[in-house]
Amino acid sequence: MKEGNDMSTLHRKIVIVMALLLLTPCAARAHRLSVFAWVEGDVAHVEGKFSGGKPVMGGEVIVTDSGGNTLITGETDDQGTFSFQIPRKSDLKVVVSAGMGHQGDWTIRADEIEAVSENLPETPAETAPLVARGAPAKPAEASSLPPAPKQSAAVAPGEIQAAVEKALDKKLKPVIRMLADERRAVSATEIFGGIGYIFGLVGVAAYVASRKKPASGSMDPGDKGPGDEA
Amino acid sequence: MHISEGVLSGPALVSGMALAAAGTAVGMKRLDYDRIAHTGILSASFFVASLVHVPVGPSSVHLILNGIVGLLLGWAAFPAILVALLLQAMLFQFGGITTLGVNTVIMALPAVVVYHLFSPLIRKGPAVALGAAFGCGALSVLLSAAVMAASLIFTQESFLEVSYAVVAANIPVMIIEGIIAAFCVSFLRRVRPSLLPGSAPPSG
Repeated sequence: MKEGNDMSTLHRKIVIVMALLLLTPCAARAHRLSVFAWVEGDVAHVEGKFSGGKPVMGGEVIVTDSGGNTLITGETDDQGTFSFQIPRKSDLKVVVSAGMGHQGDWTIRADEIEAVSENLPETPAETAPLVARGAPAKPAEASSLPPAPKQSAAVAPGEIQAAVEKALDKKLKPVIRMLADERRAVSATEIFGGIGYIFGLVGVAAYVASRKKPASGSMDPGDKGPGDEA
Repeated sequence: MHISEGVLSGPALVSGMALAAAGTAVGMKRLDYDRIAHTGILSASFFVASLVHVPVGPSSVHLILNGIVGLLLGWAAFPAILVALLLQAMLFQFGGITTLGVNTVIMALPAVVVYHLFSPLIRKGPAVALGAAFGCGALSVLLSAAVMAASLIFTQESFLEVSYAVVAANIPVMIIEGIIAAFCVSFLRRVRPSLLPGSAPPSG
């Protein structure tokens, strides 16, 4: 009977430790299927990967706005990607589910969306970078040819901005992708940290158990084999 | 075989938590001083096992080891698996905190079932013990798949379809787990038979 009481206080302490662990803030965004979505002009790209780096093939994609209305549904391709035209400027929640309980989400915030699919004229943005790059690099040539300044003057500031953003999107895409991959990788620190937690809990449990029953605890070393120290 | 956050409905999550809490309470009650270290070591093994990924078809499965954990720990598998899953959720973002209860039941309930089914056979002759260990590893994965499919009934997905998919995806894992369990048991029989179930625990 006494042993049972000792054990129950030990259990209570372990439960308290576990409850404290539950309250740590890093626990909030936990999912195994990681989703990443980024905006390029008026198109959003979604990428779903499992934690091993394997793409989510044929995963169900559901895009909802901030009000919870479903805007777009679709399926990821063989690379685990899915692209859609952004229908409206709002927070977009992208949920990818692969069945069997695997699901992940990503939110595209409204301020990341610079263009909605109907409004953006595609062609000026394509030609603009050439003009913008050409003008500062060769000023002498520009002055010798009278029509050139006129042409660059005809480019509206808004178009230049769109062009720069597009170029930046292109340059930053691999960096963003790398960051997303980094987020889903499991590092050795985390593995050893987890094992350390478990051994720490064992230590706490053993300490509490040994302190709570000194009478039988003093008998124990005789029962144990030498290998128990390992 | 971790269920992510946001997949299950509230009642399924709550009943999972209740079952996990009950199982953990029983496990803690039966966990005596001399088995704390075993429990911790097996908990750590379980924690690391899910990092070993096996790509299968469109999904990816990983080692589970809940059969061998159950065989060696009995009811103490519940606290061992709960702690390991909690750390996996926190550090690796596998599963999730709200689904911790459900995931614990998915992994630990089959572990306890195979313990009761196979532990009497482990002390028999070598061939029987090997067969029992293989069955232990394989059946625990199968049962986990069944419990998982059952917990997904309450969402929109249909039971038969999901259980078929989960079981099919885990058939390779069942075989691998069975072989690993058989290997572990044959090793322990030679090296440290006192760890196997059936040996009288030293506490009187």
